[in-house]
Amino acid sequence: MLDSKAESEPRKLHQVFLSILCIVIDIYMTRNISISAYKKYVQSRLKAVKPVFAKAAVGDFSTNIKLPSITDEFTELYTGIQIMLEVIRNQIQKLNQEIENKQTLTQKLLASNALIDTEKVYDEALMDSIGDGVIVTDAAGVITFFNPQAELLLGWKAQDAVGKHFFQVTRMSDASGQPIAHQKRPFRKAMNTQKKISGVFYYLNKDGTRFPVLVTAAPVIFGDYTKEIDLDRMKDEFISMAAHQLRAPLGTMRWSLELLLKKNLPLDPTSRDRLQNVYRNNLQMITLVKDLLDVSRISAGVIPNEPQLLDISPIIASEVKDLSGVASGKKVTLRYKPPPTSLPQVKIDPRHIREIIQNLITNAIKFNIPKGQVLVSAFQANSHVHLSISDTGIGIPKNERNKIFTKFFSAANSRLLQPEGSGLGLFIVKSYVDIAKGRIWVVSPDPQTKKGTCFHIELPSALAKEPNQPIAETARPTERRGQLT
Amino acid sequence: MKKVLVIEDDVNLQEVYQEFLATEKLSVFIASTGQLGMQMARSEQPHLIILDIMLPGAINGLEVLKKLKEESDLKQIPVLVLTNLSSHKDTAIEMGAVDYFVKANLSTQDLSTKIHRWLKKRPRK
Repeated sequence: MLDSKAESEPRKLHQVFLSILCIVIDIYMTRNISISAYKKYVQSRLKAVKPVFAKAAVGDFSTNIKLPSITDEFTELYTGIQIMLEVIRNQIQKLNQEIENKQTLTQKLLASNALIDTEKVYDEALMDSIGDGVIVTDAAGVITFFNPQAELLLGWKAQDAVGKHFFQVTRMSDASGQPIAHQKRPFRKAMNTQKKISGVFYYLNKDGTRFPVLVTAAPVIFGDYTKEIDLDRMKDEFISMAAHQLRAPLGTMRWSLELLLKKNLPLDPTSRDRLQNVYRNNLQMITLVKDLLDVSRISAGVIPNEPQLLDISPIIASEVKDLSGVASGKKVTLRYKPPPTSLPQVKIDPRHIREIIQNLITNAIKFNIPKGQVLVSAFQANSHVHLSISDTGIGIPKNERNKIFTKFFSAANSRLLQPEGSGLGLFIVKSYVDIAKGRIWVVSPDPQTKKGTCFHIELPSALAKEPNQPIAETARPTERRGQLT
Repeated sequence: MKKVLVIEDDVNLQEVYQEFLATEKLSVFIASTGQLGMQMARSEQPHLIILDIMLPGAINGLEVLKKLKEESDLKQIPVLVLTNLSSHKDTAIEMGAVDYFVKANLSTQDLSTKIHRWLKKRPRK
């Protein structure tokens, strides 16, 4: 359309120009009486404009008129024609420019339309194919988008869900099946705080089936978490089964090796060393199996817990005594600094407190330097019992301090020293401290010795009015602290 | 010589028990199933019974323990449960076992101490 318009404009101008020219010539000629005499004169004078007109007739206005040397009435006419030619040329140029601009604009518009279409298709495909349920609402909570996965999970058709309020379509409960109040739901929290809120909850399908979901409300995105929870349970069950299966042969090996070592067989020193080595490895594997089983029980929430009121000082003393052989083997001095006054009793399972102390002292010895020291101390701190195990060892890198209590974690520098460590010890320690409603944190390097690591544990004593209450934050060092919860 | 009855199905472990208890100067009787164990307990009247929990056959270790405690001739015999399972301790103690240990977590030295302690405590003919 633009092209035909562009062509018609110069053509019109050309027709107008020719009409004007004819009128002018007509007038001019009628005024002359001596037509024949003047005819020759006119023909000779019009010669100059003939090629211009010939070209103009085919739409070419680029040729200029060659002005003759004589000045007469034609001169004025030629000048007028020349000016008209220039005006026409300018107009054509302007029109061409305009056409060009419009064409560029059209091309751009077409391109961006194509892009919008592609993005729309892409977004829709993405939302449709995503494994998570995606629901988008407007500010009032009315559903504006509902993807196929959300349909599948919630049992609603998108066409039915869109237009309804979010809470009408998604019903949420906690692990015990109790419905979650609207104001406590991630959706409402995200709306109120304008922040992304995440958490594991339970959604109810349209038919009432409850299933776990990992919810992120920003708009709301949730994924079926059943598989992950099942996998986690299967993993724990597998670990438990594998560990039990490993225990039997490891136990038989242990006793067999102990009997062999006790026999004082006539072995050369190398063979004896090898036998000792096999025995050490056997004990290490037994510990690993025990740790794996403890972890699977902790994860399953079935760890035995029989708390008793205990004075932990004699337990610490006995553990220190038991581990003194291991310490001297590593040329490390292990010392227990008993409390100046007797400790108030602590309510904890004796197996748990032994495990905590054993584990932390063993680590302090393992990750120490030759001629290093391990100092264990215990004292009363208000209504709590404070236990600390400090060493002069390799320390814990700053960036790894907050991960040391997680399952299967070993700090980079500890892996170099003890590559066979399972990374379960501190997880178990922390779990037992949690069960006793205590707190554990780590300071590295120890500010007292300027090296190594110091683990601090605070356990609520029988004196504590409310042992459930966490102790005041200010009661603990605040710098270079590990995990506190 | 005091008699110890071991109710254990693992053949390798049976050999270890045999050797270990012999070095402890004890007379050893070994049963591979719960039923055989009951028969041997009746016939041998041991001073101590070492009992595993996971046993092949009709009755497992806990059922053996129950039966032992039901028979007047046998209920005085101290029963030491040595198993690979750590989850039945409470049940076993409640049912009358004197001690309960996970085999792999116990050294032969500690086992020796425990055995002699129970043998001294419960002297039998």
